[in-house]
Amino acid sequence: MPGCPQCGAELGSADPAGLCPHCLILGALEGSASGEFGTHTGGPATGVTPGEDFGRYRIIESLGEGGMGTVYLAEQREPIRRRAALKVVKLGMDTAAVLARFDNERQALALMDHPNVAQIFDAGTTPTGRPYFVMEYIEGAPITQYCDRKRLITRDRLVLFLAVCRAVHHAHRKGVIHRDIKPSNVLVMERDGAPIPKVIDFGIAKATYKWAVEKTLITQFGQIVGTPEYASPEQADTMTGDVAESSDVYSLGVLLYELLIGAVPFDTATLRKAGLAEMLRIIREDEAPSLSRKLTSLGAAVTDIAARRQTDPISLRRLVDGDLNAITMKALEKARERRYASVSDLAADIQNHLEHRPVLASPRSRVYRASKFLRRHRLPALGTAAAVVILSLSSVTAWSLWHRESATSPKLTAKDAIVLADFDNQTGDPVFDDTLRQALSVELQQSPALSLISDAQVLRVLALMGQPRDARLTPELAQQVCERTASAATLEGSIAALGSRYVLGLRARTCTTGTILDEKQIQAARREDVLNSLSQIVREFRTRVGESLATVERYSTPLSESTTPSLEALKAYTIGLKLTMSAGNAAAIPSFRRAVEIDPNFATAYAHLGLAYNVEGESVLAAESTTKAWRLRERVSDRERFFIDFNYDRHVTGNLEKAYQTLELWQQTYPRGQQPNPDSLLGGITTHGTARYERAIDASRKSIALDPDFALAYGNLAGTYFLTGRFAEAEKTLHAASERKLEVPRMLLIQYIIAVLKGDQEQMERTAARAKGKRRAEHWMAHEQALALARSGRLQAARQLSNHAIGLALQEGDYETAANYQAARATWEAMCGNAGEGQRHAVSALERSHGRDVLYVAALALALSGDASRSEALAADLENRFPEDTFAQFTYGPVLRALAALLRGRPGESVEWLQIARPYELAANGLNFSSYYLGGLHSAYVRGNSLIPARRYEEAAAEFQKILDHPGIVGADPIGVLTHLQRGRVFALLGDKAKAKAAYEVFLALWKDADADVPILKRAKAEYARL
Amino acid sequence: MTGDSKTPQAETTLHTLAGGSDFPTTRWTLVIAAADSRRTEARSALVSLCESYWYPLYAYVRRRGYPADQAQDLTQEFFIRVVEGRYLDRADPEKGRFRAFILSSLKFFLADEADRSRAQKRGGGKVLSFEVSSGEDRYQREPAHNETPERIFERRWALSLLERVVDRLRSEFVQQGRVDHFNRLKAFLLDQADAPYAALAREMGTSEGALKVAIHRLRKRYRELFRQEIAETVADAGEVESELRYLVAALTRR
Repeated sequence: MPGCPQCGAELGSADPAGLCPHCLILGALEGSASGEFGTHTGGPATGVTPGEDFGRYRIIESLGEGGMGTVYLAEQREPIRRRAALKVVKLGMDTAAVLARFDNERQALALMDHPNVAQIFDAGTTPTGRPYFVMEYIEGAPITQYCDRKRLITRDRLVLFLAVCRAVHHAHRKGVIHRDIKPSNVLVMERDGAPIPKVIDFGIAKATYKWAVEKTLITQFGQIVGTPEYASPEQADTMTGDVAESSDVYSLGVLLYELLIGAVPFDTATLRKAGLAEMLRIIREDEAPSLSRKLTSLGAAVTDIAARRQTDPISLRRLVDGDLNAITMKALEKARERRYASVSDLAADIQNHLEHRPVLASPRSRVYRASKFLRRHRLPALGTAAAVVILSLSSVTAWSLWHRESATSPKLTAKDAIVLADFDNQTGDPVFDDTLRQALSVELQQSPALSLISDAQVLRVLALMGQPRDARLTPELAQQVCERTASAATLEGSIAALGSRYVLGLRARTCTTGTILDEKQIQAARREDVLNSLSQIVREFRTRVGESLATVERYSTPLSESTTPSLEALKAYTIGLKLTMSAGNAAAIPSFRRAVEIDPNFATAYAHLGLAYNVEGESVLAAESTTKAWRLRERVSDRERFFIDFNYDRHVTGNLEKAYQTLELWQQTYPRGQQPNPDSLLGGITTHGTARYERAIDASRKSIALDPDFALAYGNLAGTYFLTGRFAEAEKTLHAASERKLEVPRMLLIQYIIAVLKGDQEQMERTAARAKGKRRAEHWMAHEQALALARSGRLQAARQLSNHAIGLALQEGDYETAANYQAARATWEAMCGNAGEGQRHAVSALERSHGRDVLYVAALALALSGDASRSEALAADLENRFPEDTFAQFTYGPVLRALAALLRGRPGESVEWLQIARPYELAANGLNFSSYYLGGLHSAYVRGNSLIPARRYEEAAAEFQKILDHPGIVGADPIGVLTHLQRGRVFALLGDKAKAKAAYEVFLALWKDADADVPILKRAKAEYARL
Repeated sequence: MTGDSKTPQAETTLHTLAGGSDFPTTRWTLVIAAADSRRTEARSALVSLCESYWYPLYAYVRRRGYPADQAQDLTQEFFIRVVEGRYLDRADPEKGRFRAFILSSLKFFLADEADRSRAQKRGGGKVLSFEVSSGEDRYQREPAHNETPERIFERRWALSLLERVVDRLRSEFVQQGRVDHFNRLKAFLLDQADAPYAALAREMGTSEGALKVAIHRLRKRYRELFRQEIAETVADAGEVESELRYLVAALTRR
């Protein structure tokens, strides 16, 4: 397959004229880089002119000039107040192309979430056409300056550099390459006195620097842009190279070089005076001088350089002559296949160096490895002369080192499981590699007291940790496996050569605290004795460690099975799961949030966070988290993927049919699973929203049978009974839950609405009182009370409670929920004939949130207040933003379109639109299951109203009857009451006076306590009088 | 979320087309201006639009999960209705853009199952010159990954438009007998394209200056044709630049 000469992408057979559509369409942008010759010569003109408009940002002061423009300190006022750095790109760069390229990266940038990466907030254009970028403001100095000013020793510099590597590695995993790593893009700030490096400008190089995109350092006019000192050979190659992660490895190598010895491999003066062609050649071809050679070339300056590292020239030279030189040179290899394959490999090698382990970059001589081994072990293992004497006493000597003195030393109990780490083979003799672990395993399995975690189980856990199948089970890894499987301890074995002898070691540790339970060593005189020695040590070990681990603190239940390399993240997640089941999704939010803070790639935790946000009514946040999970879905196990796919369709695309199919498939694949399990989800809105009520009842019952303390399942079951009008069964379910002291806020709501529909005033008050003082439950209940009052025409009282609900929701930070309350308020005001109030609240709700349900309900209120155009525009927005969403496409959109058609005097078209709503007419929607902002069956109500002007009265009456027949779906929605009035009107038109009167009377009875001045009541009374 | 809010940059670049002067009569303006869609002029404009952009709609229907034979029937039936002017009297804020109009009409059509079942089967009737069945071959070559129906539609739409533009540009060269010229220079249509001009000029037996001028003209013409082609599908000048940005996003989004 040929590639695009521009971006290298594979070309398809159908691509226009054999060109890549991606680059081709960018070329169509007005004033794109390829657009005009000679348009790039505009002066720099980066100063901000008075009155320049940066949208939400206000310039405070200039922070400095850079190669591509000026950086300002700015203040953002909305939606939150914060300080930000604002980079204004030089005039003469092509705005449209810059922004189009930035847009391409925007999603990837948004995914980045790392303490050492400065966040990019925004990008935009000033009215005069200059692009700008807004990013986290870092009050810090370039890393090299910081280190020199603080006179940091080499080791501390390396620790800082490691954090930089982690940041860049994080970006690479999100598919973002920096392309312009240099000291001024790595700033160090201080928090509580501790230095925190932050890498800035991710994504900006790609958007603005021609060379960064185009693999070349020069513009078409031969001007040098970018920073040649830090550019990789690929970036200097005009012909072949394309820029990948390895380019960042190279630039990091230059940065490391400079941190270590205060100079870059090819200094600025040499490069700049070499002339363009020569400069590019140097970058492409010349090997970087070794660190010590460079130090020599620096002459007298070295004294200062060493002093800034709190050392002297000779010591500095010795320090950077071994591993550090090898590491730096490997990062600076001209051929990228000889460089470190990734930034994490570079970081791992620096870590190796810091921990006196062999580095990858060095030739692995035996002497070298042995010296590393001795350095690491000189303290405990072979440090004292006495130990050496004991060692020599006999060919086989065993002794125990720690915890012998402790009488309360914990013992292993029967059934306590043990995880066997891989043998640490220090002999260099590969024959020992797997043999010893195998032998150990066989010996241990003979013990009645201990059980071993099987290799198969270990493999499964490794996969969840994101480790390769053949990962070495180091003591650290073994410990994590131990915790994840709720085992008691790990067992680590080691063997080392000591002259012609061998030293075998065994060490048992608890996995939660890492406390050493017991440690033994034994010597074998010859190679052939090793296995015998091992048998002996294991036998002693078994009796010594004994029979009880009862006093050891550990988890009583295994951690959940989810893909994350971080044990801490997994713990937080597991706590979140438990909270979800016992106290509802909302209670678990902080735990899930913590889990993704620790591991920003923790897909399943994001999915749960999304689910919980949704229950909280924060659909925008829910979509964000769920999308993150979905983007990470390739990393997870099958079981997790079902959950993530389900959530994505449930909360992002809103395609409930697809979500439902995923649940059923999941259920068939894993019929019995731990939480989250498909049954608990089949009891919820996916099933209700597609009107599969019987399936939902079935699933919830099964969930309860499996775990009778699963609060959510009771809530779901009661919800299903309620929606299908089986109020007695709903109440029975609620009672069963309360007997077990299980409560989620929704249960109170269901109880309350049942009381409203029954007209049971006392029960209403009792239930409302139970919500008082409970987070979320209280404002939710207040909203419901307002709704109940409004549906009986008591608008004054309703308004007060509605204000209370909105105010409290805002206070608790539930902004979208508040907007939903307000939109519902707008709707009942409009329905009662107060068009002005309806519009006012609808507009104000839209200012608070553009969540799906807010959009719909506000648009509904606007239409009911007579504003068809605005309502239609919102309907279009809704349909565009949620092209697959079951509610938006089949309920919200058609209802709004139909209302607008009705308002415009086209009842026929209105009825036609509502055909679309038929398949899901009796399903619950986003307003009435789990939120109860309003109710369902709006389509029937609007259809009934459209059939009247179409003079199809019988059909209209049938529609209104449908509303009365499904009280659970309508809930506390005012249409449930207004329907009586509409029926009265229809019967009057049909000439059936008796039925008409009866209907009017039902309405007037329900409104007996209504405020006298409600417009619709006045009209109803007048009409009734005429009858 | 694809909240397509009007950004300030969209506002400021709105007026690049013809300096904001009178918007020319285009195929789509003809269609929506015609009070009666059966007027020959409007009808043939509509037919020609449908001919240019039928495939993205077919791909949409397929991705919605309809099997090939049913999708072909549905697409055929849908276009017959469109050409009959069936959806044009619908009050639709999307009418400003043919692309948005035709997709929302299609959704409307697909959702209205009852209506479809009432309609009697009709033969193709040769209203339209394209063969819907040929769409299946193309559809089979679509990348198999999980694109939503909307996504495949918008990407295919942008590609159809791009193809038309490049075809027109190419045929202008063909008419002047300079297709070789086009083939050598077409890579310069790409964003950011750059090359050793001197070498290329020598190869083509011209001066570097002349080459640059030629490239400049080619790019200019390309951008003109692009905007013309978009203009054929929108109702007023204000839409062109934002439609262009929409199409760019459709092809470049990951």
